[in-house]
Amino acid sequence: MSKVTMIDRRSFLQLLGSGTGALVLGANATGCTGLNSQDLEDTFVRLGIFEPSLFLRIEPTGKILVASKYSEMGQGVLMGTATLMAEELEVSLDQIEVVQAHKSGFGMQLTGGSMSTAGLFLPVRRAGASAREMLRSAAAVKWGVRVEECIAKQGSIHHVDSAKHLPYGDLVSLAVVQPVPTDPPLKSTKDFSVIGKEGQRRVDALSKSTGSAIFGTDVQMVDKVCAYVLRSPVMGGRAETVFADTALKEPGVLDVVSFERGVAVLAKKYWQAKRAARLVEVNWTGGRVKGLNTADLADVARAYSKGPGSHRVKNVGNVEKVFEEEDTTSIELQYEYPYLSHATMEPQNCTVLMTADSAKVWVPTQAPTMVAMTIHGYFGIPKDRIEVEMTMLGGGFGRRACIDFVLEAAQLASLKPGVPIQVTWSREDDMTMGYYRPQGACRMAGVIDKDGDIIAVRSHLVSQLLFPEMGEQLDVAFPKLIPEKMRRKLAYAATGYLSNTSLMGLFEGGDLATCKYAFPNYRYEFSPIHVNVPVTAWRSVAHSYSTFIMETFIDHLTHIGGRDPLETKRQLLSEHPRYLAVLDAVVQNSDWGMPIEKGWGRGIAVSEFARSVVAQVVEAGIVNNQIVVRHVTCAVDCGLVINPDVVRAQIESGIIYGLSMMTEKIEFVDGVVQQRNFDGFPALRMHRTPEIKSILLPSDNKPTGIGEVALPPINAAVSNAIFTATGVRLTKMPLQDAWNEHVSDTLERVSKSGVTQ
Amino acid sequence: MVSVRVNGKVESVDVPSDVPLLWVLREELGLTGTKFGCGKSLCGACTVHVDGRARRSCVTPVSAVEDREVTTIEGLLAPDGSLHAIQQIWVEENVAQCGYCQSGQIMSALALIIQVRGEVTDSDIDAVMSANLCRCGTYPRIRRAIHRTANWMKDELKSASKEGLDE
Repeated sequence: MSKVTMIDRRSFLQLLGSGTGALVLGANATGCTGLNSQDLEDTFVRLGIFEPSLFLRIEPTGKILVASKYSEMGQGVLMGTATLMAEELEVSLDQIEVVQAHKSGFGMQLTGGSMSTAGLFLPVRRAGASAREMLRSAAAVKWGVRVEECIAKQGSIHHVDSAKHLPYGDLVSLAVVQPVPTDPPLKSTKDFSVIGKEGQRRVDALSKSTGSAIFGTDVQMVDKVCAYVLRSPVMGGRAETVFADTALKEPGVLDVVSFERGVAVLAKKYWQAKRAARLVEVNWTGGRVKGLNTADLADVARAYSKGPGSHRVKNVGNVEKVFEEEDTTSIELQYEYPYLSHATMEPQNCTVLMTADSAKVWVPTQAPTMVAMTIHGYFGIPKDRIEVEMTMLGGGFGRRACIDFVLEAAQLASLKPGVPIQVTWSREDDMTMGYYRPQGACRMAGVIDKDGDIIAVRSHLVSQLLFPEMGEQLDVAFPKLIPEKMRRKLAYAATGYLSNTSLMGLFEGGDLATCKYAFPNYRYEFSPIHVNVPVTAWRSVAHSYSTFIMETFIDHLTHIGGRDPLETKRQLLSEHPRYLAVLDAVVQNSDWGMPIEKGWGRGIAVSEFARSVVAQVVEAGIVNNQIVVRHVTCAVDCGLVINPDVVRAQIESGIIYGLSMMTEKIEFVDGVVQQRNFDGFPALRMHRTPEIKSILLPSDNKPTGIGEVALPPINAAVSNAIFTATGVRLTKMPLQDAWNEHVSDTLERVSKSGVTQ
Repeated sequence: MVSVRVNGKVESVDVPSDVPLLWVLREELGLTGTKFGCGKSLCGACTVHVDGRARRSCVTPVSAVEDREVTTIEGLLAPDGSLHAIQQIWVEENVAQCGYCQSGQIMSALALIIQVRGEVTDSDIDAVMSANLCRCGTYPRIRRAIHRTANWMKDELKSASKEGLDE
C-alpha cells in the first residue's frame, strides 16, 4: 500500500486544495452502524485505508456541490445530506446540488443498517459549518472587520453594521486560504430552519418524475456490449456442453461465452443478446443446492426446534423450575418463516470496463468498497486503478450489498479487455439466483401464573446463518482484513444472535435489539442450519422474523392469561420510557380499545431497530378468505427528525414492504426455485394497501434510523389483529398461507366429522 | 425497417418486427426513462401510451405500434422543457423513493385520468394502478397525486369549455 498513514479519527475534515479556484472540503463519515461496524471501521482506520466520504465544493460562481458516497436507493439519503448541509451553510435547499460520489475510495463505504442519514448528522453539519466559518473569516479579512461582525445568511456574508454583503462565490478565493476550523460551532436545535421543516421537496424528486434519473440499467456508452446470461436451473450449475452456432449467426451477436456463472450471449444490444439466447442449447450439470426441497428443510427445522438448541445464548432465572410449577399454564407455539427475495424493481445489473491493469465499474450498489476490493482481490488490479461509479439504485433492501452481479460482469469484462460489458439480469434471474432472507423455524414456550402474569419464556430458533455466505464474498474482497473470529461474531449478530457474548439481538441489547421485555425467567437457544442457499441481509435483517415471533407470542400469552396486551407491554417495558411513549402515542392516535365490527380486529406491536422505537396498531380482518389490512397507525421515535416527509415516506415504505411478506415466499423443489417472476411472488399492490397514519414523536435526541424500522412489527400486529377478529393464531409466514392451512384443516375436520355429508 | 412515431417524431428503426417496443425505445431511440422490470407485463415499469392508452411496452412488439402514436415519460415535457402537471404534482407530493417504477406509474395514472376526464374514484385507482408494482411502497402518495392531478384536469376541461362558450 502506497499511503499507509495513521489516521486520527477526529481529523475528519481536510482542505482538498483549490486548484480550480473552488473551496473543496473532504469529510469522513461512516454511517453504517447497524452490524457492530465500529470494529470494522477501527480495522480500516488502523490499516490506514481512509478516504473522505463526503465532499463539499463551493465554486466561484456560487454553485454549491455536495458529493456523497452513500447510495440513494429510495431512502432519501441525498435529501438528508442536502438538508444538513443547507442548515449549517446557511443556504436554501435549492442552492445545493447533491450527487453520488463518482469514485469510491477504500474507506468503509456501505449503505445499510438504516443509519446513513443519522450517521451523517454531525459530519455533514461540521463540514458545512467549517465552510461557513471560512467564508466569514474571508469576509472579515476583505472588509477589515472582526469576524464576529460577519453573518452568514442565505448564501451571502453580511456585515452587521453596514449594508455590505457578498455572495459566497465572491469570497471563495479568500476563503480557501483561511484555516480550516477543527471544531466549528454548530447551530443549536432551536435555531434550525431547514432541519425538521415541512413542505420540502426531495432533491431527487424531479429527476425521478421525468425519467431522467440514471439507474444502472440506463448506463450508456457508444462501444458498450450487452450480455444476456443463460443460467443453470439449479443455481451454481455449470454448462457441460454448449451449442451456439445458430445463435452466433444472429444479427448483432458478437460472441457466446461459457463461464463460471453460466453462458453469456454478447451482442451490441440487449434485445439482440436476448433474442439470440433462445437459440443457444446448453446441458447443465451440478449446482450448489442440487436436490434441495424447502418443504423438507421446514420439516427438519420444525422437528429440531422442539428439542434443545446447540447454543444457549441467554439463561436468566430458573426456567426449568417454572415450567414444572403447579397452578401455572404453559403454552407452546411453533413458528416458521420462508426464504424471501428482495425483488428490487431494478433487476441486478453491472457494467464493467477492464484492461490488463485498470477497471471501471458502473453499478447500482450499496457497497462500493466491496465492489472495488473484489475487483482488486479477484483480478489483482491495483487499487488506485479501479474506479467505481455509483448510479441511482432501483431499490436496495440489502440485495445490493452483495457483489455477485459485479463479479460476474467483471469476469466477462476480463475476457474482453477494453470493451465495456453490461450485464442485465432478467427478472427470472433476479428471483431464482439468490440472495435471500433465510428460512427458519422457532419453538416458543411460555408460562403464565394464575393471575395471568408471564413468568417464563423459552425460545429455540433454528435458522441459517447470514454471514457464512457473506464470508465467501468477504474472502475475495478483504482476504486478510476480517478475522475469522469477528466474521463468526458478525454471522451470529446478523442472524439475531451473538453467541460468545451471551447477547442475543433477538431479545435485548445492542443495535440489533428488538424488544426489552423484563421476564423474570427466560432462556433463549439457537441452532444454525447449514444449507448452501445464498442468504444475506433483507430489509431489517433478523427482525423481519424475530419481532414477528416475539410480538405475537407475548400477545398470545396475554390473551390466554386474560390480560390486556397493551397493559402487559406497558408493565414489561416500564423501565423504557421511549417504548412507553410510542405505545401511548399509537393508542392516542388510533381507535385501540374502541368497539369494532364483527370479523375485524385490532392488533398492537412494538419494536426497536437502528435505535429507533416504533409501535403500530393495525385493523385487519378476513374477506373472502383473504387477510385484509385496512388501517395502520404507526408511532415512531427516531430522535430528532431531519426530514419529516422522508421519515413518513419510510414509515409507509417499511409497512408496505412488510405487508408483502403476508403473501411472499421463495421455495425450492429439487434444487429449483419455484417463484420466477412477480406472478409467483405477489408483492403488495395498490388495491391491498391500507390507509397509513404516521406519528413522529418530537425529540431533541440524536437522529436514529428510519429506512427499515417500520417493517419488523407489522406482521405481528396483523397476526394479533386476526387473532382478535377470528380467534385463530397465525404463527407461520407468509400469513396468508397460514390462514389457508387453517381453512383447509377446518374443512377436513368438518368433513371427517360428517357434518357436511 | 419499422417506422414508429414516438413523442411526436417519426423514427425508422432497423429491428425485427417482434422486438418489444421497450427495447426499441431504450436501445434504438435512447429513451431510457421507460424501465425494464419483469419482461412479462407483470410490474408496469415499462408502461407507455399508445394512442393515449396505457400499454406495457415489454410485451408489445414494435410492429403493433406502427403508424400509431407512442408517448413515453420523456414526451410529457412541454417543448420548453417545463413539467406536465402530473409531473409537477408528483414532485410536490414527494412520491418517488427509489424512482425506478415511477415513469410507469405516471404513464398509467395519466392514461386513467385522461380516459375518465378527471372523474377518478378510489376504486378506479385500485383497479388500474394495481397493475403497477412499487417495492418502495409509494402507493399512498401515488393515490394522493392522482386525485390532485384529476382535479387539475377537471379544472382544465372546465376552463376549456368556458373558453369554447366565450368564443
